[in-house]
Amino acid sequence: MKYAFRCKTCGRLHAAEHAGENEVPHACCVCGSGVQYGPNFKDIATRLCDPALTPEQRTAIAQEVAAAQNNLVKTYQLDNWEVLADCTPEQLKEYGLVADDVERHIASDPRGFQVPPSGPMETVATDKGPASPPLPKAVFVGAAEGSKAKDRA
Amino acid sequence: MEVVTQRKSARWLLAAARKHADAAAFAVKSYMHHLQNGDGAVLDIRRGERLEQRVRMGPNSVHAFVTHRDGSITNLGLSKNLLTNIGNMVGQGWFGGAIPAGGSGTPSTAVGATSITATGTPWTASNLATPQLGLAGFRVYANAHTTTGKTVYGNIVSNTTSVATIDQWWTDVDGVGTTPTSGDGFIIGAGGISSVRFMALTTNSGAASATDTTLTGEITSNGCGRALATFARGSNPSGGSGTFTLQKAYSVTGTETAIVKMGLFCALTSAGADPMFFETVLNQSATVGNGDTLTVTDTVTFSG
Repeated sequence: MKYAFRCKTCGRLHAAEHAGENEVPHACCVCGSGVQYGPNFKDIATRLCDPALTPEQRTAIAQEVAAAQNNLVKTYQLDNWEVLADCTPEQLKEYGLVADDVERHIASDPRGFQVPPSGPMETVATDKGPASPPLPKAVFVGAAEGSKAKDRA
Repeated sequence: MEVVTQRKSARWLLAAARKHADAAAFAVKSYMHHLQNGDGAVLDIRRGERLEQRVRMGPNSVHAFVTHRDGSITNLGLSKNLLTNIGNMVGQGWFGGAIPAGGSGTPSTAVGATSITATGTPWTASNLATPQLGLAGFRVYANAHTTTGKTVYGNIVSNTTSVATIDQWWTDVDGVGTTPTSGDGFIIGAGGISSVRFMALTTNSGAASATDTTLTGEITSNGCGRALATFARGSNPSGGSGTFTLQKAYSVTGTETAIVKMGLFCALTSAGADPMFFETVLNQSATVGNGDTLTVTDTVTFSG
């Protein structure tokens, strides 16, 4: 099994598929780190420390916090994750891994295809025939039960 | 209940007592029969033919809801779970303090991040299809020769006659522990009870069955893979019966269409090699997307 991420909180190693469509996973399957539910108090405290705030702005922040208490606020803690593909061999050894145990995660869309770069798609000529854009295609598969029946795709 | 208001003969009193005892026995018999027909499960712990202890687990209710990215909530309702036959076998070994046949195999001859190798070939290999549990469902305890190394344990997923595969080396506080030193002693099972606290999901739409040994089509991706559920004590035990809850909030990272079933396991792995303890068909299937949170709560009833 190959691993792509390490939870900095508990040390659990995670495969790339745990992150799904995202650059890093949302939450660790052991300790739950990576996601915080409820108001982000660190962010609120940082904002309240700004001496340039007017009383009205402070009131607005307070009201925002009060409203958040009644709602499920979900904050992703992206810095909880260590990307193993970026680690040195020494670091990997410390985690009981070698380079072959590590894979790099590529964020993908819900259908499992790699997310294409933004902007218009370009067609590129190759030496293997006419150029074609790397569009996903639908494949229909039929099956029949019975003697001498053959699948067709 | 009939109240004795007149002076009665000893023979009459004996007959009356027998009558009430028979009625009570019938009621108990009926109740147990009812329990074994879907609303719960009974663990019988026997020594030979003799029943030593009977523990009831269930009926266990499972609740699920989805919190969507926009803050809206979909309540999936309540359903009840099923203790599998293989889970029953694992539980019997725990409560009865089973010791692995052939001994522990200590000291180790090799130790890895997810395995430990015994001296010789002392164990019976696990095979869920037989079913032969081997060491599956037990824990192995070992130590590391480092200044910071703590005693660690691993939940055994499966084993050959000489190698036990574990989920990981755990510390006492659910962290990842240091891999123990090869050549040192270790302990397997010997009364040690693992925890049924790892929750898994599947989109497989087959009915839950007591004969299931694994969760078919277990999800391993999109943040919906097997995960450690949070334990909490429930109601204070009363009359020998109490409840506790296991809850997991899955932080979803990609689309999963129609999650139908949930399973509880004793190890954090998704290899499909370890025995499933409880299986539940959710009251309503869950379809989730990136950013959603799927919260599943299993309320387990535990009584003697």
